[in-house]
Amino acid sequence: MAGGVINILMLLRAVSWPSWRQRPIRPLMAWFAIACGVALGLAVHLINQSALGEFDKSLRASDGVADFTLRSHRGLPSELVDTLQQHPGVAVVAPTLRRHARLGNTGDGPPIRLVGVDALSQAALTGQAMVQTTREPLDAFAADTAFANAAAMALIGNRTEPLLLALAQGTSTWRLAGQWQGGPGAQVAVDIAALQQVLGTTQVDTIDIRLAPGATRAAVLQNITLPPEAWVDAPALQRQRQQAASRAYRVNLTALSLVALFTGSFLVFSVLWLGVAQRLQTFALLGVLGLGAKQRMQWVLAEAAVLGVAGGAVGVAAGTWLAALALQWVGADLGGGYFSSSPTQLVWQPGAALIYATLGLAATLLGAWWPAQRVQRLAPAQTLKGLHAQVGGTPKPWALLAFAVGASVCWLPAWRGVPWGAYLGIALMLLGGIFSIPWLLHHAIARLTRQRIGTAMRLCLWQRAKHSPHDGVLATSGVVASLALATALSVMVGSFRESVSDWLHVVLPADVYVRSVPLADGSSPALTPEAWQALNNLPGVARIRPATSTRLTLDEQRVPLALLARPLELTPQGPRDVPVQAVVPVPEGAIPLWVSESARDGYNLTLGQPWPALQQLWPQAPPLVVAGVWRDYARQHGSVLLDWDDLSRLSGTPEPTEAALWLAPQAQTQGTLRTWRQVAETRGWSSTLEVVSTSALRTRSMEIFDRSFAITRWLQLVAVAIGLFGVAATYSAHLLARGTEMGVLTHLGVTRRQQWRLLLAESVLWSMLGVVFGLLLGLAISVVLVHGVNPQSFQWSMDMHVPWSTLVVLAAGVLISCTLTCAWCARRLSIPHATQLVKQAF
Amino acid sequence: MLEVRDLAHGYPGQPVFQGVGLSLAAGESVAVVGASGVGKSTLLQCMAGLERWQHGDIRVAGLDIGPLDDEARARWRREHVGFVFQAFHLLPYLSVFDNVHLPLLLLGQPNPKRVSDMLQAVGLQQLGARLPEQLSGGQMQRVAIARALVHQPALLLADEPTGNLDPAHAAEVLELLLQQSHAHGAALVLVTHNLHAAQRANRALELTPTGLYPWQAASSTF
Repeated sequence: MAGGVINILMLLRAVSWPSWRQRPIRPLMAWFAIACGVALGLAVHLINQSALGEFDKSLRASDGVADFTLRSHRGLPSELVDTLQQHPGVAVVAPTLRRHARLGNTGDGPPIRLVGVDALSQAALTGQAMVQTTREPLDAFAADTAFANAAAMALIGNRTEPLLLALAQGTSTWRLAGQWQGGPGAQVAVDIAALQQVLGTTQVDTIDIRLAPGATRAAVLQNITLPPEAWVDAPALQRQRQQAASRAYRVNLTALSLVALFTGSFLVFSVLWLGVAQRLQTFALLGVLGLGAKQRMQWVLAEAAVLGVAGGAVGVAAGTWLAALALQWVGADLGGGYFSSSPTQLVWQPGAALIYATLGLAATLLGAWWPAQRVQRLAPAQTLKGLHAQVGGTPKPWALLAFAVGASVCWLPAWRGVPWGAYLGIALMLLGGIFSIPWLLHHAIARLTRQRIGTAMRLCLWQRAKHSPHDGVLATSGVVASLALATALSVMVGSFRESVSDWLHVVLPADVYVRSVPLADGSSPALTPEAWQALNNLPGVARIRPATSTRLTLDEQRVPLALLARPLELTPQGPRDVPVQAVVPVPEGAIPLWVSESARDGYNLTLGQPWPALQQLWPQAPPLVVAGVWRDYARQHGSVLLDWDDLSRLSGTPEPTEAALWLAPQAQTQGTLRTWRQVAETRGWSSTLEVVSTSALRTRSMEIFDRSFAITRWLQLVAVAIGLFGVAATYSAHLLARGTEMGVLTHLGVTRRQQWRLLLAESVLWSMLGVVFGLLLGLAISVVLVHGVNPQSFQWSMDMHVPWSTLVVLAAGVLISCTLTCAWCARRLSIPHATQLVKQAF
Repeated sequence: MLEVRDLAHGYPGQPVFQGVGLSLAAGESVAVVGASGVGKSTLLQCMAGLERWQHGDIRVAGLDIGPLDDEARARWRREHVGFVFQAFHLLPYLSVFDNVHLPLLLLGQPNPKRVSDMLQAVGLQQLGARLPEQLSGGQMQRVAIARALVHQPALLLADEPTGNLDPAHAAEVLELLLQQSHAHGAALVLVTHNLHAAQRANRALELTPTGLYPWQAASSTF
């Protein structure tokens, strides 16, 4: 065993290394492709992990000090706080009450979050004073004192007069007594009891709980009766929700980043296969000298392992550098909108680095497996005499079976939100599709060339394509793989883009939209009555439609969904201006719910059936029945839409958070916007209300969409570039391996020009073949992406739109690059080396 | 048919051979023997117009091929020269039939009947649809002979045609080569190390650095 290893090492040093030094381009390209694949995969992984790490850090900073939190949409009774405080398993109970407020007494001031806390319990929970008084220590417990955080202080300025905050219940007056450490966004903390008094309530919004040593959450909750609509939240659950919400996106991105590695393994395969073809005499000679079949195979695998290890090592370094650079420059969000886009600290994981380096090695060894098998089966004596078989044998159709299996498994249901079946299916379709090409080509040419072909060059071209179809596939497999994936992704992105564009036209029927600028915590304050009045008085406005949006937690394992309401114009096909996918009539007296696809799938809802979890919020209300499913690209975590009047019946008249404005026929959108800006400037609403025309909103939405998919395009380009590298590397090697054939043709009187034309025709044939098969495979895979991966990963459907112009440009670019690369290699071979090749023929 | 006069070939400061003269009639065969490295294969390449020489003339069927450029030589070779190699060098992706047909197609004179006749002449009429990899060594060389003669060239050049064959097959192939070249009226130049092959040709000459001389088996040094 040890002797065998030493032999292989000696062969690497004595034979492989000089060979690589003599012709370094091809091994360098294979190494570079693996390094690129590993680097991209690791970089995307590290960026995602750093993003999750950053999220963890923010959790620890805000809520991480509590073991769990009780929440409710309808408030929690103060008695629950008392009950919990008396529980032996509970060490600290810290209730909180939060309300939207505006600075000043007019309701027009900048929005501020008013937070009612108990200073003592907050200090016990965090281990430090959350409020810092500037005058009397007891101010922290006074009923009229307020404490502003840095963001709020920036709004308040150096005011000495009492702090006035406008609430829905009226203006409240406070004495600014110090600073508060909370966040995010502008927040002012006051005593919770004082705030309850101002609001006229005895309820709280949330209760943070620290458990006593040895106590468990389950044990505590077992002895406590919670209100029916209350739920438990915990940092671990938040992390779990964040991970679950972003899992499909992260897995999709990882799969995409591994495309380069996948394409790279094709390049390794091509390079090694042709490297083996070129060195058959060397292998045969060493075989005659006593190198066994198994050792020959091990030698080829060892060569691949050297490339794989070197590629993996450089890939890990480059991936780390790439991730650090991306985190510093563009933040942790790669376009999905799940994470922060501010600079983020890199979380380096040695385990992940090892896994990706191993993946690089595995991809290289996978690519080397068939070349190694070929060397193992070599007949040394025959090969030395030049009598080895030179065509690859009649292709077998087994690969079509792999394609068929792939096309079947890709429709398996997702597991834990990730469409594993679809990924496996795509890989099988790709491999099966590529390795079916020789069989398809062989039979297609056999059919096409039943009548004998007239000229010698045409005969050579077609018969070579028919009997050696593997050669072309070897040269173009990387291009086929990368073009197929690029095509599939282009169709998927194109379909998504068109669907979003169509969707925007349906959901944005008005001329102008108005909404409150969301606060730092993501919540949307209501439009003030003053603002509403100003909008009504705006010249040229024919109609205003209010809408409201709030977040609703029905399942502690899931990200809150959006509860939307607006006046709906019902038609037999569902509400107007809502892209409804399916609709059923609801029973008389029931309240119809229009749920998004994501809500339907996430909460297992059925058309025509009630929604018990939602009904729990309004137990006395008429049945809440799912009347239809609509497409909602704006809220991935799910949304439910109700008629404005229905929501009013359920929870009183809602406060509008946004409005849609239809202008009178003679009114100009830009003129109306100009007038509004003047009003907003005068009333100080410029920073709190966002008013935008529909066309601008559509443009902005499409810009966000394009930004989200920018990384997809970059990863596509890298994969295509690696595929083209593969063509350059393998086609030149392929032509060199055909030196004897060219020499024979020279002896038969074939001129250099004829040889060059023959090779050029072959280049065009293989390039076209690569492009056609790449496109066809890509279109087949795109069907899986559009109708399988996307609905399973993100719970939204889309219509298939093939972006023909993009595909034509992509295909033409690849065809031209591929043909030029092949032609360049052919030119280099046929002109300067003709004499040498002639000598080879003897 | 073949006239070589005072031919010299070499590289700067390193002459290979000089003073080579040879005259060969249609249907006549000559075996060229000589020590390794003396330039036998190079002499064949000169006769085929694949190598340029420093001095002398080569005429085939009255045409001086020296002044021809590469393209003209290729066209001339296509019409007037046939080759048989030691390693057969059939195109692996062409069937036996197509391999033999190729020279005619290159001349723009497709003639399946002649290909069939040629295959029959070399005893392979049943194997036309096979690929070279499905043939034995002897069969491959028969195909090579058929390919070399199918277009009825004036000159047939064979470089160690029996070098890869066992003695029994070597003798068969040699007989076929001599018989067919004679039957087609081609002048055959046979480079060989095989004593038997050298003796079977009409004449045997030994190539030395100073020229071609009649070969005497008893005093041979190769």
